[in-house]
Amino acid sequence: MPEVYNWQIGRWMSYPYEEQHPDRQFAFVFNINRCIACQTCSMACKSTWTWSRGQEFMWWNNVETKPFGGYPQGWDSKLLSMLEDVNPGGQKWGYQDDKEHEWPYGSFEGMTIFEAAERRRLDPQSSRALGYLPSDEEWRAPNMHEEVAHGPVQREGDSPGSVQLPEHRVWYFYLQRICNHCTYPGCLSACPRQAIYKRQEDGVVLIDQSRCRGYRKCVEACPYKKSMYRPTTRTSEKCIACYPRLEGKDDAITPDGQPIETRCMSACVGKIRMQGLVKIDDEGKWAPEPEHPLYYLIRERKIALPLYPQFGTEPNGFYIPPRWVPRPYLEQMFGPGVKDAIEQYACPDRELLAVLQLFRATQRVLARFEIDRGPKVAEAEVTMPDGTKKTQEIFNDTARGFDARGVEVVSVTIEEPTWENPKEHLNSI
Amino acid sequence: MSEHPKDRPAEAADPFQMMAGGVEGDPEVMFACVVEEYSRMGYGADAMVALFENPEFLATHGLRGLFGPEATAKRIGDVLSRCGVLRVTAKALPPDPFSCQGS
Repeated sequence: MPEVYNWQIGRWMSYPYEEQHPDRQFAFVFNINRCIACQTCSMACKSTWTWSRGQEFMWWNNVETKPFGGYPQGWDSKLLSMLEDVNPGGQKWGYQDDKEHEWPYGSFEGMTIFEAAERRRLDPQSSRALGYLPSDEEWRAPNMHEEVAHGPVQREGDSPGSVQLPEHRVWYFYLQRICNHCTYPGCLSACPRQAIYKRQEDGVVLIDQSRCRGYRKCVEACPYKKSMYRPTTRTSEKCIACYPRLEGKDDAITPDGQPIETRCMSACVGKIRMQGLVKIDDEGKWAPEPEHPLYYLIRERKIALPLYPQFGTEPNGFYIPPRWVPRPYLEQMFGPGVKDAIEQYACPDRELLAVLQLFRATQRVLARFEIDRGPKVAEAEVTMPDGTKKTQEIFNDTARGFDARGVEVVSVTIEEPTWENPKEHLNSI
Repeated sequence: MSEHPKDRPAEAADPFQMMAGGVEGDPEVMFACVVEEYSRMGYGADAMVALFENPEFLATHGLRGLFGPEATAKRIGDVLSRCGVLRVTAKALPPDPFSCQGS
């Protein structure tokens, strides 16, 4: 099997095809801290792309509750268990202190889904990536049981036969998921028809519906379970990154010919999402673009991290991890970069705070930012992950966003914060 | 007479059975972080209390259920008195024809 370089796990790894890279790559950052699971994104996607017969249980965008939920149910815990079975005790990260630019999170010493399949495989053509095919029942009930924080509590005198619903501790976070348009897609590697391809211009992964015969190998191999089978057409379908909006070629959607954000991003009322196209150099690396908001958040500051990088597909979706969640849980989900990411994000410096204001400030796709520096206007006290407090300085800075043509499309100015006294001390200073 | 479904033992392979185990976490830290996050988006105390009161938003509503309505309002006030409410002015240039968001 050919060897390809995966910067997220900091090493070369086996992959069924030779390394190839697009000119630019569709990528996105989701800020988990701000999501309240209003599901507006899910409905925006569904009402655009998956509202037809045979797509009833198909959610290209879904928001699930962690640690209790998943769509399909248990997708991540099942695959983690399978990897552990193949490589018991070996799924670990190393070299965490040696953070060179091309291994920002250290080096993963365990096995990716491709390497695990290679070890386990009996028939060379049977499976190119470790995975499983979820049952119909697992797809059917997204969000079921996920956040029943207060089921009926059984009290003295209640009928002994009454039902006790699952009761969770009141802490959790919401995980927003779409196709990660991976650099080394599991779905693409597994398709026996070679119906799945990655576009050269933007790295979007698509299924050619005319070639697909519905073998569901992609459903089995995608570690994130974002390829889905449609029984009415007997083909598999997946998120297409709203490419008509991304291309900016359809007058009805983008009258000025400029790309706009995908439906799920543009509908986000919590302003947690940002998308863009990052430049890929001849060697397949992210070309340095320190003024690109995504490059800045992902590569420069490293506050946005890939989801389960240890699976080995080099996903191009990145998450700002939630500040209140225990570290070991997050490290399993986002890798060893979690500590640095949360500490920076919890108390952002002026530059980071300014860039964070660009989330959802416009539906245009941003390619560059600038910051106009202003005077310091306040100090605020913020809660760090361990519950301690830290002082944050706030400046009257303006973040300016530019599109791919270099035209300024948005500016966001941070003002002096307002302070609210408790009602019993309304007149105190 | 056949066994009632509710009396059957849980099956490990039952897809509708909750499979995840408990993970330690602190609801107080979650509460403070959520309030700080929304204060960075410009939510004041009243808007925040409304968010926690709305049963459609189960995370915030669950925290309200845990701490109680009065303590929730007081905690929101306490956090906001520390971190303030961030204000931003956003301007689309040229005016964004697709925008549905204010400043």
